Amino acid sequence: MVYGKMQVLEDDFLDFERSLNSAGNYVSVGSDLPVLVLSGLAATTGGAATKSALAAASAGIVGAQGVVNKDLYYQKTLPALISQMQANRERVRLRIIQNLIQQPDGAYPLNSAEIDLKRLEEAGSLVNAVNDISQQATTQKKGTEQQIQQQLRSLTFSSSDTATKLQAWLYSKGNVDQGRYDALQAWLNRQPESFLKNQDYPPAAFVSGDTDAANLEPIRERALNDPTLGIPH
Amino acid sequence: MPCGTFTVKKVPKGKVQQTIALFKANKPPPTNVSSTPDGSGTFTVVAEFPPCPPDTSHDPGGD
Repeated sequence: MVYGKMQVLEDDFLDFERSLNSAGNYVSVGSDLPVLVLSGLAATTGGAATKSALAAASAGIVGAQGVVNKDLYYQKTLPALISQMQANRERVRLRIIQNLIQQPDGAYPLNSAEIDLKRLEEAGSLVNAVNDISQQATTQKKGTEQQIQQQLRSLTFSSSDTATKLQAWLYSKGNVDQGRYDALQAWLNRQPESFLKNQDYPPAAFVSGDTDAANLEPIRERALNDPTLGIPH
Repeated sequence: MPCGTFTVKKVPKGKVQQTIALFKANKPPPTNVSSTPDGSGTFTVVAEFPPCPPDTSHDPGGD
């Protein structure tokens, strides 16, 4: 019985998938684009003043471009959405089949199977696919940000001219010039880079090291040339 | 307020005290600063600040 319902859901999904694919094929030559083009032409072939005709033509072209872009986005996005829906369905299908094979009837009663079949149906929805893809993108973005932050904190000592000048400005004869250190901290907090702006990025790290992720060298150059800091160079 | 761990690798022996002193001048100062030889004649200086709050996007985060 469960396998029978799974087959029905599978057929429904294949129909849905076919309808999505055919919609994707038709949309590029479908109704929106010709309607817009005709609207644009109709507006420009009347006896209206040249200015308004040109404006209407322009609007028609812009509108048509919008449709083309929309069509392209749809066509490019559809395979990803369908793949995600298939992946979601396969995950639920696997769980159902594993339960049917491995669990005794008592441990996997019909009610539980029906709940899983409902999940299988929902797994093939566009909304779930969009949500999953969005979630994956968010997770990936967080992971990338964490990697960047990690690289911003992992530096290699720099002996570049700018680093050496800034180090000498802050540290001389075994002592740190606290006033200069605090001034540099305030300056760093005013810089436009997202990892610096109001982030209290330690001046010690800024003057001591280099990291490809942060590209500190041009920022150090900027600090040296900023008259508000008054660094001799 | 800075958070997480900052590491400066390949610090020449003559620059270790300077690097440590600079980190200690931070406001607020790190909870711990240490230096360890890396076996190549240079040192690794590690400055530890309080852990970053979760979901910190741009603050330097904890390891």
